[in-house]
Amino acid sequence: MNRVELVSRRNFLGGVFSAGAFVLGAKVLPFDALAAGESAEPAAAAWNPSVYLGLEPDGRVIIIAHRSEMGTGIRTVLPAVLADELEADWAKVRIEQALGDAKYGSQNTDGSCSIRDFYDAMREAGATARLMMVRAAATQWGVPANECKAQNHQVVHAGSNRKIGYGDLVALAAKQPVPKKDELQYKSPAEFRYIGKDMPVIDRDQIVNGKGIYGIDARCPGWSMPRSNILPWSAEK
Amino acid sequence: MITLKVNGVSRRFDGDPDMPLLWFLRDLLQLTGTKYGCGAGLCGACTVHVNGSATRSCLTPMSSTAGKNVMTIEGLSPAGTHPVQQAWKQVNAPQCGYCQSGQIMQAAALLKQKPKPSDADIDEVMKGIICRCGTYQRIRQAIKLAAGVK
Repeated sequence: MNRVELVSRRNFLGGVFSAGAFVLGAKVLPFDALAAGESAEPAAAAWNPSVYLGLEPDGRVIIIAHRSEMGTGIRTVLPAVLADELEADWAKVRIEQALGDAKYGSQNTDGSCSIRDFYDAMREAGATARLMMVRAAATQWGVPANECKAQNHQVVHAGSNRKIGYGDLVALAAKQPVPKKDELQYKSPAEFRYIGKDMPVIDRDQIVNGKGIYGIDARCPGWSMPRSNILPWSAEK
Repeated sequence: MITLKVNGVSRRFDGDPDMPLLWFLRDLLQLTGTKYGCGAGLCGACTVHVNGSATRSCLTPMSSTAGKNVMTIEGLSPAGTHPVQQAWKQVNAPQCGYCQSGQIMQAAALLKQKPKPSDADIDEVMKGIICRCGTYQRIRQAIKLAAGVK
């Protein structure tokens, strides 16, 4: 039910991705949408990807977290699922918190549903981008794609002992057609790098330094800040 | 006019003397590491140090801060290397993290007073700070790690 599209040329997310980035958007239909019947005319429905993934020429992977963090770690974990399937190096992954926007579909984060609803979509987006990286490398080297393997932010061709980093493949990968769902190959659980592993939340160090940003910390130019008048009370009494 | 020090820097305030210190820190100094939780001294999220003692800034009127030294999470250590912060990272204490500045400030004050606290000492002091995620076990673990006690 998911669908992945290349959105590099679309300016959905001005400012987050660079002009040279390779950006994929994946549409996700949570259970309630499926239960309601996936629209009689799916083609006419607005395309609202829930998952955005971008690879930058400098090798960074940017993943948009479209759920709200409420202490479950969901903002870390869903991108980690995608990064795992992408064979991305977690140290090169940056997570960008999505604003509230209809383009993400429902961002309601409750009911222990986020993993159930988006696990498959995250894996599909990651596997799609990984296959595009592999095909880009195979094209560059003039070898069959099935002789190449993605491995920790690189594509490797064992036969000729060649390696190329994801960042160097971005431009070429963006020219690949987006693979069909039945072309995707998923990692086996034994190959997982992040799924099922203990990982710190992405903003752990900022939280501990008092630099974590919450809704209450948002500021806009020209804002006035109204505050409730707390009853005077003295610690000395 | 009230003069006080916040994280070692001299600050002046000439507004409503009943205004809570919390608003001074968050809205005027933009030190947003200190959080607003309940505004009634019930949750502890707003805990800072006033002259070294853990204090609920939501219930501390500016009038009482004249001449005092206030320290917030931002002032605990410039690079986040205070032993309590390092222990917090080591045990991955935070979940959502909203209460953690208060937890860390309370814990730092405790260790200053009692460098080797018992479990009972920890519970007695830390019970004033509520964590909705329920990270209490790791908080206790981190305090003991920072204190070097088992």
